Amino acid sequence: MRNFEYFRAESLEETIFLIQKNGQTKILAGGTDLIPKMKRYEISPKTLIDIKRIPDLRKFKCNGDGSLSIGPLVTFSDILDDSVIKGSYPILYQSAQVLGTAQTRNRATIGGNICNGSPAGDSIPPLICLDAQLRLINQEGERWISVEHFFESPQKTCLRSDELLSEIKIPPLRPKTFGAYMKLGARKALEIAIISVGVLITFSKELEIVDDIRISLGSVAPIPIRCRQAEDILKGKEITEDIIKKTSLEVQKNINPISDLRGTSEYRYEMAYILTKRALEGLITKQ
Amino acid sequence: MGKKSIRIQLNQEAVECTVDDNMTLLDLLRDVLDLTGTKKGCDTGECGACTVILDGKTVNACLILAVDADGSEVQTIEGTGKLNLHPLQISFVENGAIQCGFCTPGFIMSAKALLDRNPKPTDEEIKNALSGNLCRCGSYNKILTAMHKVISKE
Amino acid sequence: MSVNKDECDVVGKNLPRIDALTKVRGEAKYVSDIKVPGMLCGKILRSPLAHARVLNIDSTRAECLHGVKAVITYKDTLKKVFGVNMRTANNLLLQNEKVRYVGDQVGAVAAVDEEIALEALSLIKVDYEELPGVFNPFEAMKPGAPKIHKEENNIALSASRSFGDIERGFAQSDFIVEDEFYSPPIAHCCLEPRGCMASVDASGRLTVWSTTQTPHPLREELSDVLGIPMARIRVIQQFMGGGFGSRMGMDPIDGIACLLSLKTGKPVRIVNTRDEEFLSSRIRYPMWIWLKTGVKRNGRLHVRQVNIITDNGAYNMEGDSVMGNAIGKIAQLYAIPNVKYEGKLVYTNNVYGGPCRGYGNPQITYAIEIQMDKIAEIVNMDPAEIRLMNANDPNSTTVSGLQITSCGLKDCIREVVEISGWKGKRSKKPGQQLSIRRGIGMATMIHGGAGVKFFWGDNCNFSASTVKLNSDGTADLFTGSAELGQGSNTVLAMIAAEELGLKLEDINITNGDTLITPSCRGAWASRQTFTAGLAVKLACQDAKRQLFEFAGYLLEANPEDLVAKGRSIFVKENPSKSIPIAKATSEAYFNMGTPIIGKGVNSDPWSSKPDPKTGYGNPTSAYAFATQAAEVEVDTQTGYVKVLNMYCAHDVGKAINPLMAECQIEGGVLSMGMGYALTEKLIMENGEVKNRNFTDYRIMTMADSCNVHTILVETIDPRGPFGAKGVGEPAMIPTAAAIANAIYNAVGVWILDLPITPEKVVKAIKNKQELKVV
Repeated sequence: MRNFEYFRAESLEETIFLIQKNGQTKILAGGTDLIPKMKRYEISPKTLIDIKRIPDLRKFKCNGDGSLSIGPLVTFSDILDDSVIKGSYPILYQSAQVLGTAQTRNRATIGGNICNGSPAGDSIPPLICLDAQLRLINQEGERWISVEHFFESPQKTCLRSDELLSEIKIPPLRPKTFGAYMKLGARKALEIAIISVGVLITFSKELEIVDDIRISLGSVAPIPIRCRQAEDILKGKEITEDIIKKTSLEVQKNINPISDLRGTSEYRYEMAYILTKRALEGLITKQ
Repeated sequence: MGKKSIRIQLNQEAVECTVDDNMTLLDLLRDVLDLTGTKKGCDTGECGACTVILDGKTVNACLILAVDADGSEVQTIEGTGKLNLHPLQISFVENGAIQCGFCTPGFIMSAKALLDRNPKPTDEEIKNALSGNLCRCGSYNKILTAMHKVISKE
Repeated sequence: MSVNKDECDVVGKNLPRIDALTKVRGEAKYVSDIKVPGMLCGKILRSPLAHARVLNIDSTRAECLHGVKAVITYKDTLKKVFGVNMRTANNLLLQNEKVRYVGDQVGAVAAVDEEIALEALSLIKVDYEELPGVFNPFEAMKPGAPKIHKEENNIALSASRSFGDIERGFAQSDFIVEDEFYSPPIAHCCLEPRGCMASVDASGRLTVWSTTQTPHPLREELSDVLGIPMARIRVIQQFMGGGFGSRMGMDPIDGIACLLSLKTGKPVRIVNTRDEEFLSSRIRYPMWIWLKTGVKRNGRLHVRQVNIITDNGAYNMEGDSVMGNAIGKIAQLYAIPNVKYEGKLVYTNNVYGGPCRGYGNPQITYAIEIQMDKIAEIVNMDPAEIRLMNANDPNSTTVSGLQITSCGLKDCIREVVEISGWKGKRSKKPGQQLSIRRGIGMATMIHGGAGVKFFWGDNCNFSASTVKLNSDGTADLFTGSAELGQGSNTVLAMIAAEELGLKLEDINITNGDTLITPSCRGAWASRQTFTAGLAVKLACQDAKRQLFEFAGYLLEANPEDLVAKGRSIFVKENPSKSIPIAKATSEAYFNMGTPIIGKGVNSDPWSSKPDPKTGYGNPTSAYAFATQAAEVEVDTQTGYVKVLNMYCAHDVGKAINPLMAECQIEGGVLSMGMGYALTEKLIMENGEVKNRNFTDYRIMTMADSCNVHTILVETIDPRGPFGAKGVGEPAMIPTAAAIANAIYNAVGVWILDLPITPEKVVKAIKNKQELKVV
């Protein structure tokens, strides 16, 4: 890697100050995406600001209104160790289980996974399904944006160069909500998804009708997507095998996968149907 | 450009040195401190040959900046079984879990970190913990056997 | 004292590897671990273009960079070609006129550190005239295709052989099967990237530490390419992080490191990055295989014809013999009276091939063994039964002249049928859930287990060893063999211990240092247990003869009547008459003034280079056989294939160390075998490897591994040391075919081009009428 100046920030304010003061700055969290890119000379920042020691950024907080705040420095190992995530947000838990390797999970942060902006980021379809909101701060203040709208193109997000991701907030979960994340790979580890699917269903009180449904896919478009047209087919209906098929077919219309090293677009189309269907079928048994 | 003085607790001994900001922990261990037990197989965090234990968790040392490790505890293969071999090391030797040996230090560190946290892991937990360590000689099953022997003795 | 004179004390025991402690402590030094004072970092400038003329190289800016100690180009070389087969060698250490693949070596620098070396590389200005490239052998053979070397149609070699009468054979066949198969480019993926440190001393002597499988031949090749007498070159093989064939013969890295050291007068170490390993290292030869087999109604193989097109890549390495091994196998696996094999080795502007575990055999076995299952279906025979019917027998000669001595192929098939529950699992299970189907399939193989004579010359498969018996009864063993991690040092030390009547811990083995050890051709073709093992045995027998002279004097017995066992020498018919070995050696040294030094040379008297005109002959002194069965679960909707179990029976002759033999077999299956079958392929685009990391080039992880059940079949080879023969390569040769046959049993589809990706399975299932995908 080319050399750079390394700073350890003690606070968000200091981080913002350092970003303003120094040009060509990158934020260093886990480094599992950033360092390889620097080694390949894809990016060569002059300044690296290590934010890992900023207090309170690596915490889970159950808020009074039932929402969950996740600090951007929470690692995927932290997610796997957290009983609240395991019990109440299995869709997110499942994505942490299949991300990278143990060594990666010990360092990679949820904030880093989001800000890296890869359409294959494992945490993103679950966060989109959970309607997660991102708090972005800079010297002028803060703004909130949903994860769904955070991505512009592969590896590019709408995070401005002077902004920091400071919080990921998941709105309160309604009762009878169940989720699943499925990742398709050729191996059981060390895989970037061929495609990935997250689904979240909220059943009505009677547990027969789908009150709300979110479907999000990764690696099927330049950015992770939410399939609202497919969701509309299932929303308000009783969940049956037939309607699951229709929903899954509709998902195929929402996606635009490419052919690359990992798979062809034809295969991805077909697997989008298969994986969505399986994820939905898996949730029927939860009713 | 960037140069820093750092202090790490390396295998339970305090070590101080001055490093360039762009030096990785792996290069610090191998090139500056002459601890070559931790291997460089890919330098991009994929093969696990450079696995060390940083503040109790396994990491790929090739993706950790040395300056980032300032103030941290680092365990490497050199600090494992210094006076007496760790039970894992004995078991690897006795159960044929070593062939070319290049991946072995990384596997020992991953296995040790797992057993330190969870002395009785299931096979699935073992595979989850060790799937970031590649072995081209294919010693996976013998490594699993070696771990079973240690776990059953606990 | 009652002693069982026939039972072995050391051979046949599951002893821990002698290097295991060093490795498990992290104390084993590999090339990238060694450091010497004043050592410089070397880096190689590689061509970004697949095919271009080199018009000019301007290195002046690089030379002026502070910290750079040398920059070299072809002008600094003798411009000599190098290679294992010098008759066809056409690669240079540094190219002068043309570059022929992306990654080809053009220049090199030595600098005080890596950063400066890399910067220096970027300052070397090379003027290329880009030429059209050709990346597929079929395109390369077309008239008008870009000419890579001087050969017309880029055909480096055309081979054709036949035995029997194939026209009549096909006319007489009741059924004929004909298929085309494809085997992709594969990377060895040794976990240790290749490297070399070269250091010239004040008197001009070169010491070279290399990741080489062939230290003695490397010394010869370096001497030739550098123009330095061999007496002034020392090659030391370090601990190696794998080889798998990739490090047989000289690599440009070795020669370039030497050149840099000679120019700077300093030690220079070059180690490939992982990116370079994927980009520019020799690969498993890609092959397009057309195979046609004729069979009699009763299942007897009658005739076989193969035509293979091999992508040679940019330069000659061992493509001729790899392809020769592949095409020849149709005459070797199974008894078959009529065969014709043809092949073309074709240059392309892709990275060139080289030896890779199995040496062409995994490619052809894939084809042969899938066809065996197709044939079994046609003649309505169980795949195990048809293989038993056609299997080679011990003490037989094949139609092409292979002299098979020990052969446990039938035993291997029977063992696998037994341990896998074959009969029950082969029958279709009613009511099986539609989307996940299970199947079981098998494959067999034959492979040389003792090396061949025709590299580096016409009669060159020797191994030599010396042993010194020390005055205290321990022994120093010297062998020119190469320890890649496969465990040869332990096995050879065990052979020595057994022969000398000592324990394993009494043997101190030194290998692969050309200054200290006698010559051996190195580790390839699964030869070392057999070939180097015999040399070690001969050396120990020689030493023992000398020892028994002294012992006979002490025991007042005839030396011919003595036996050495358990650190003692005793009279065969009167075991109570014995002395410790240490006493005999002490007597030799201190009272007779005669140190004991044994020498053994195994020139491999049983094999020969096949007749150059007819191809008839016996190239290897012993043949290994194996059968593997795979049990798989196929997800018919995603195409994902999960291997549940592998059942492996291997005829190893005699397992010198059964645990280590098991490790080789399991290891071969779990990584290279399964990877070759299901996930591995170098993806090339206009000659450039695109998947240059372990995420995109998928080798198996621990999470992907399956149960492996291993049986060692011991046929006690009449020639091998204690009956042993090779096991390293056979470990992964039949794996892919077994998996492919299991998939067919599960879902009724054949995938004839590797790897068997989920996508291909889904597509094949879709095309098949019977199965409905929900």
